Amino acid sequence: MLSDSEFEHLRNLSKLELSEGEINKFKADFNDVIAFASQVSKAQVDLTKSYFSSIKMEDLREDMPKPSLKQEEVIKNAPNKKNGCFVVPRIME
Amino acid sequence: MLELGIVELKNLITNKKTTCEALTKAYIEEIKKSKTNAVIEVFSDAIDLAREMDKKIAAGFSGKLAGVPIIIKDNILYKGHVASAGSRFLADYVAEYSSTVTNKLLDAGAVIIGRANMDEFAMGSSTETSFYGPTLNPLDTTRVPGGSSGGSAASVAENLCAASLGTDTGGSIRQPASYCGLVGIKPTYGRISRYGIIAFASSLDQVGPLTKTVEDNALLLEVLSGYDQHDETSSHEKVDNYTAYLNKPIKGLKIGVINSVEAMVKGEQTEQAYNKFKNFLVDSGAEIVPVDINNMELVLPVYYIIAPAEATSNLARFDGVKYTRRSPRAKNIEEIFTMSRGEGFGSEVKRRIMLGNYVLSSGYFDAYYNKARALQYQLRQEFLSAFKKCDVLVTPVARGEAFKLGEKANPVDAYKEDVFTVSANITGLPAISVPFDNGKNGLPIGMQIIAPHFSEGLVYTVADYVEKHKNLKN
Repeated sequence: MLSDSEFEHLRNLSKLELSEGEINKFKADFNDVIAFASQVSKAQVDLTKSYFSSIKMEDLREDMPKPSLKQEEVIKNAPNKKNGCFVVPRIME
Repeated sequence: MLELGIVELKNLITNKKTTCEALTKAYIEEIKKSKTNAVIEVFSDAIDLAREMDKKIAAGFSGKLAGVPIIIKDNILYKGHVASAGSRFLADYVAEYSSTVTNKLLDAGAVIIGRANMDEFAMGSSTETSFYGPTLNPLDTTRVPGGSSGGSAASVAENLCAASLGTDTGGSIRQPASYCGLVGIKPTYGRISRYGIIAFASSLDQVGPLTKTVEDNALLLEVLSGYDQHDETSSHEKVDNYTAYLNKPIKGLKIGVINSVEAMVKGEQTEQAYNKFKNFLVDSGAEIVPVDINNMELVLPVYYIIAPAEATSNLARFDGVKYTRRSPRAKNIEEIFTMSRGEGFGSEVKRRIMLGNYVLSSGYFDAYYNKARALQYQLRQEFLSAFKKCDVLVTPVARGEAFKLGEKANPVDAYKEDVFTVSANITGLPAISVPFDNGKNGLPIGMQIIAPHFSEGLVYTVADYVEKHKNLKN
C-alpha cells in the first residue's frame, strides 16, 4: 500500500496538479498497478546483464555542427516569449 | 474506388482513370460524412497539394506513392500543421519541422490529407484516452478500433484514405490492425527514423504502415525505411526490396509456437482462430516447432515498468514554458509546471507519469526498473535462441475481437490487452498483424508473425501467403 505521504511525494516528483477526484481514483488504482508491476521481483535474473543497444558505436556520425532550426523557429510555440527568450515569473527574490 | 489500396489507386492515376485531386476531394467528402471520429483534422492545403501532384505526374513524376492520399497519426510532425498527440496540452502546437517519415512520404508523391485520432501520447489500447474523444470502430460503432493508432486504423478501414501511418510502442499498430481487419507492421527497432515523432518510450517506439493489403504494406515500408542522420538509433542495415518477398510458398518453413503463449491463449476469444491458424500453416506445408521462452509471462509487467519510466522523462519537456500551453492561473514557476501539466494531461497520462516516477525513485529503482531491464535483456536472448530452431514465431495479436467502448475501465484490465504484442517491442523484433479469421460477432481477428531483426521480408512472405490462401483453406 502506498501511504498518503508517498503518494504526495510522487505527485510532487511528477509536477502534476491533481483534482480531489483524481487523487482518490489514482490512489485506488495505483496499488493494483504496482502489484501488477511487482511481479518482476520474483524473477531470478542476472542484474549485471541489462544493457543492450541496437546501435553499433562505430556507426555514430561525426560530431560536427550542422545547420539547424533558427532561434525564432525553436521558440515559436512557447506560450510567452520576448527577445528570443522564454518568459517566466521571477525566480530569485 | 475509395475502397482500393495504394497499388490499385496508383494504377488508376497512372492510367488517367482518375486524378489525385478527384481522389483527395472524394476522401475529404467521406471524412466530412464520417461519424467515427477517426480523423481529427483535414489539412487545408490537401487539395492544393493534390492539384500540384497531378501536374507533377503529368510532367513525368512517378514516385512509389505518386498521387496516393495518406493520413498520419497525430504524433507525427508535418511542418506548418498541428500535431497534438491526442492531447489537450498540444492542441495548438504547430510543427516547425517535418518528421523524416513525413518527408519520405512527400518525396514518394503521397498527399497527406489529415491527422488521425489516437490515445493521448499513444498511452492506451482503445483510442478512448484522446482529448478529442474516442474513435469508433467503423465495423461496429459500439466497439473500439483498438489503439493507440485507432484513428489511423479506422480511417483506412472506413475508406477515408488509401493507407495510414501509426506508431507502435507496445502493440499500437498491430492491435488496431487486428480490430479493424487491416495489415499493420511494427518494423525492427531502428528500421525507420523516429525523428519528428512525439516520443512516448524512445527505446520501444517505431513508426509503421497500416494498409488494406500486405503488398501495400511492403511498398510503404520500402518508402519509410532507412538510416537517418537525425536519429542515431536508426539503422545502417540495407533496406530490402520488400515487395520482392511476396507470392512465395511457405512450404518447409519452420514456424515456432511459444509454449507459454499456448497457455495464455486458453479460454480467450482468440483461441479458436489461433488453433485454426496453426492448422492452416500445417496444411500449407509449414512445420510447427514448439519453443520455450523463459519468463514470457513477465513481459507485460516488464513493459509497464520500462515504458512509463521512459515516458516520465520524455514528457518532462511539457512544462508550461516551451510548448504552447501555460495555465492562466499560474503565478510562480512551480505553479507553471504543476498547473499547466495538471490541466493539459488526461488521467491515463498522469497515471503513467506517476508510475514511471515510482519505478525510477530511489528505494524502488533496483526492484523495478533495473530488474525489468535485466529481464528485457534475458527475454531478448531467449527470442534469439528460439530463432535458431525456427524461421518465424506466430502468436495471436489480441485476446479477441474489438471490445466495447468503456469495457476496460480498470487500468490493469486495459494493460492486459497488450499481452501478445509487447514482446516484439521489448526485444526490438519486427512483427505484423494480418487478418485471418472472424470472431463470434463477425469481427476480424488478426494473427501475429514475428521474425528475427531486419527480416521484414520474411514477415511479408508469410503474411502475404496467409492473405492469399486463408479463404481457400478455411
